[in-house]
Amino acid sequence: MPLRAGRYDSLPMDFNENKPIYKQIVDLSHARIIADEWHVDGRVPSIKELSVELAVNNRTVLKAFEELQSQGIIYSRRGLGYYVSPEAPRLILEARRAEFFNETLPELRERMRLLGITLSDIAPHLD
Amino acid sequence: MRLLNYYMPRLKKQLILYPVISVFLYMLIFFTLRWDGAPFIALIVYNIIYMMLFFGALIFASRNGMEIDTMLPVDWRRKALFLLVYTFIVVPLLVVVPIAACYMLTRQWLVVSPLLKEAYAAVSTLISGRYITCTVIGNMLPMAVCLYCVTSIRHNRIILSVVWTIVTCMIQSFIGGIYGAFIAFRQGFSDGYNGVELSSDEIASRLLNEISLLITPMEIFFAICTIFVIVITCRAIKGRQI
Amino acid sequence: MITLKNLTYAYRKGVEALSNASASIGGGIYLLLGENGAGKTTLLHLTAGLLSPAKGECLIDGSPVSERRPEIMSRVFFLGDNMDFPFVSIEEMTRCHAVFYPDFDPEMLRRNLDRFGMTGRERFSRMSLGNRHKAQLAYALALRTEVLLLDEPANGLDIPSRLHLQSMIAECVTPDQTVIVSTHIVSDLRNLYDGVLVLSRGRLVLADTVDSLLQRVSFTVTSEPPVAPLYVERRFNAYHAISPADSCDESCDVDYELLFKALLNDVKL
Repeated sequence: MPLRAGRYDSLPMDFNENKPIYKQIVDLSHARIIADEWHVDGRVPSIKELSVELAVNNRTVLKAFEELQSQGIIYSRRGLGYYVSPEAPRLILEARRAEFFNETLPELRERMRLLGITLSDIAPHLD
Repeated sequence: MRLLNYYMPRLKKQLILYPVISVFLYMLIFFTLRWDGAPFIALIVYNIIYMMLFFGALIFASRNGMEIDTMLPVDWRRKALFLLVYTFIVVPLLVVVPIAACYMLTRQWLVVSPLLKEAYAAVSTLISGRYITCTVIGNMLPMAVCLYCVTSIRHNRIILSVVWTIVTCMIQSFIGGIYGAFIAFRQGFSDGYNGVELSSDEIASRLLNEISLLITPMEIFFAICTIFVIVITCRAIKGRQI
Repeated sequence: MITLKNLTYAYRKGVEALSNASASIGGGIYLLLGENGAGKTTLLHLTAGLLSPAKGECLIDGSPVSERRPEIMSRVFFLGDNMDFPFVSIEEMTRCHAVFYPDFDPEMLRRNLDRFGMTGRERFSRMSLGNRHKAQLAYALALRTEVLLLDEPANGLDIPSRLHLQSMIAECVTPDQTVIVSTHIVSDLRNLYDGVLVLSRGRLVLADTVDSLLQRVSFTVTSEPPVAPLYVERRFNAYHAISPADSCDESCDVDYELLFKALLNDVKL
């Protein structure tokens, strides 16, 4: 009797080696909120649930949730779990914009300087 | 008991096979009683029965998994008791009870001439020294050795257990044979010296008489050996190393 | 809670497989690293009570495991690399063996087997090595023993099965359990470890939780060489380093391979 193949729908995702896992989980949470997978004022998976889904240690998920809480993205309701705060999408967008201006743009500027590319070179590509 | 349940998958085969083989062997003897070769068939059957008894403990080695056995959360005394009771009480019962039952049922049909009886006795005692020296206690030693090997040998458990059990039997027969021959010669010399003329029948029967009186020291020796082996078996069960 | 006190074991005279190992291991999933022949399996065997130490002792909840008392033995389980189960199938094993382990969870077993695509009625003799191993893992996790010792659990498992194992361990292991995973393949369960144990030439050179370790050292990946690292390695065009914790701001997660190499090079962490 041949064995059935195991279930493939519930395989954990791969994590990037260079960024702390908890930060990647924060990013993942941001992405899910933006994509409305986790609804505003809706319940977020529990620490246990998420740690099982991602096959990651409880502690790490806890750390991520603490970060999300301090960012104001989620809030906890005693005994009920974690919920997405109503300002979450706005906050995430703001954070992403800030990241763009504080990190991505300076990086780009530096790169352009190294390669001798000027603003006028890239202007046609941005429309 | 949970322990019984634990070992049962291994023991199942033996619990069924042994009685069946015993009955079959009895039938073999029963139906060949009038043949010329009957005593020899009986001898073969005797030896098969003894092998069944001696190698009874091998069933515990039938499945690999000494780690699981060793880690089993059961007091070593219970494990030891179980193994000992099974090897020394259950296995012999599995062999003897069916034969006894068959004997009871077929007694009336057993017709054995006195000549045949004598032939049986003579052949048995002369060919194998163990029948001179070994009774119940003596037969326990190979069983104990088999059990010890099964509980303490790590690699090639089954083969080495068989080897050591056979070696034990051979040593016992050897000792018995030498002892018996020594006694016989001593008797023969003293009688011949005194000028007493005896027929060969009388010599044989007197031999057997004298020898049976001297079995006791042999029995005691084997009993001590058996106890020793049982003690080291319990030690092996308690402190088995992987 | 596992306590090792000067644990020593020698297979032959003069050759110590394990020398003076001492540590306190609390709840959590621990990685046991060591080169081949460093003594990993010996340590696991000693912790499971399968071997008696030459010197020292291994205590589980305060009682020496080598005494093999049933109350303690029912709280430990060791699953080896190539272990045989003395039963024909998981089903038979459940009927005859699981009763000795009071925390056994039959529902968890069913879920685990289901994940691997098994029913539990398959005969071991007809399974491939990998599938047999999977069944054994499914069973071992369902025993829910306080201490679970896994020797090369991912050995022989195909990639999907390895991922299933990862999820299974995340799902089945509770904070009060101590799981020690001895493996060469660090990447599999990397995100699950609460602590790490490292054996080098028979000596336990590290036995710590990840949290405690990260308070002492940081793991960084930079494009420029680090200032005063304890150990550094260049991979492609990045510097992977272990530095004292205070000397840099943000640490990446523990790089176990780097940690291992550092300890093999006798770096003190």
